[in-house]
Amino acid sequence: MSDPFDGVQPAGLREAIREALGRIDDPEMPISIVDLGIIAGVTADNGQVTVRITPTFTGCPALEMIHGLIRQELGRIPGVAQVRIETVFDPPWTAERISDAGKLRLREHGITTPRPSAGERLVQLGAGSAAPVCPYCHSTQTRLDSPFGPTRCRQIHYCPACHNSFEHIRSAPPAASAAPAPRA
Amino acid sequence: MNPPVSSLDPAVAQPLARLLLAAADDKLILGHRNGDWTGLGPILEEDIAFSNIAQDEIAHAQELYRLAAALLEPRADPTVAANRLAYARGPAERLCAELVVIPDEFDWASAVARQFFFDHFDAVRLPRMQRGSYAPLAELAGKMHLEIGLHLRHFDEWIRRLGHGTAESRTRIIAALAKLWPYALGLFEALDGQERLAGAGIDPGTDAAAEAEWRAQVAAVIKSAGLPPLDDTAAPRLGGRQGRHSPALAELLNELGEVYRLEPDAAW
Repeated sequence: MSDPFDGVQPAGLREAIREALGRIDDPEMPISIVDLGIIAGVTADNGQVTVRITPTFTGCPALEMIHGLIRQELGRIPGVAQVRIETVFDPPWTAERISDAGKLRLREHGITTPRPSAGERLVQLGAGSAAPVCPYCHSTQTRLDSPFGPTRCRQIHYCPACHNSFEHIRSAPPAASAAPAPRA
Repeated sequence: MNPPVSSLDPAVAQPLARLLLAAADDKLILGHRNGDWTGLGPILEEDIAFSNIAQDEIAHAQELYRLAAALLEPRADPTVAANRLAYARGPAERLCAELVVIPDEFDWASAVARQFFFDHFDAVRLPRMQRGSYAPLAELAGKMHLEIGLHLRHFDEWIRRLGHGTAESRTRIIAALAKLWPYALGLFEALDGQERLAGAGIDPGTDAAAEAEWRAQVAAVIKSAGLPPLDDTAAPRLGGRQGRHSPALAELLNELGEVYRLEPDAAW
């Protein structure tokens, strides 16, 4: 995935913007909007900064709040006179856009993401991608409890080894193995 | 409805705006109907699922209204204009198919059948819209298509679950599918001026080939559920795409627009 901040000159402004946006956490998850991968691109032209966002899901209710936080943080940077935010659907967001640093921080909070990390190829076994590794006990024998969770980008898994539920971030469409296991 | 000057040829902009409004009206009304089930689903997980799906439909509607607003009121604040299109238009201006209008009377089988028919409709028309020449709609259609993947899986499973379930579940889903089938056929009713879109490289996704694909998909799921096939010769219930609706729509719009009408154009 190319650097969405590449289009910003000079380098000092680029890094100031990158750092400012990196300070903004998603209102509902312990991850920055940069690490989440929703920044499609940033351009700067004579004091006007345009941020293109590719939302996780069209219905994400946190977007308006994120817009406000972006304006607030970028407005503090000297030389930024105006902030424009555009919603784009191309490239569409996928969970693969989450950075490695973001995945680590999510996992520390008990939230898993599709494995493997960016760049690796997944060996497809049977119907779909591998089950998430339990963030608590690291068991690989987890199961999907519900394809729908507290937000549209999360589903609920269960670890029979340590008896914990945990959330898993996924894009649309979800893995083919998303059919819930029958309850015992 | 007369569109203002836009960069698109007005002969194309007008039917395009109508297409966007029809798609938006479908999804807003459907999302509203689905939202009625929050707290009333058969199990908690279904409440969550249905609410998520309603959230998707309403979000899609919002984006579609924004695109329509950009064509119809290019100088207005896009959010204010989109809200007006969503909340202020009366029943005769609505271009939704009657499938989403008729009440489900809190019959779960009807709610399932409705969303099942609609999601397969999205599955055939969104990829066609995605290949169209109007980039804002093509990109949005691509995103929407990704998101309905989970809807399809969910409701196909419900059709199977009800078909292979008990005598009661089977009876009720057969009745619901039969009752809604003529209304579902109305999803493919043509919009005024639609034929002008093809020349501009925009595909509404509702031509005969799309309908045939939809019929085949729907029939395959119904067969896999062990259910009797739907009546191939049934006549479609038309009129929705022309603004002709049952009184149920006026009632729904009254409720839907109640807060909006207190203070139109307010920022909440």
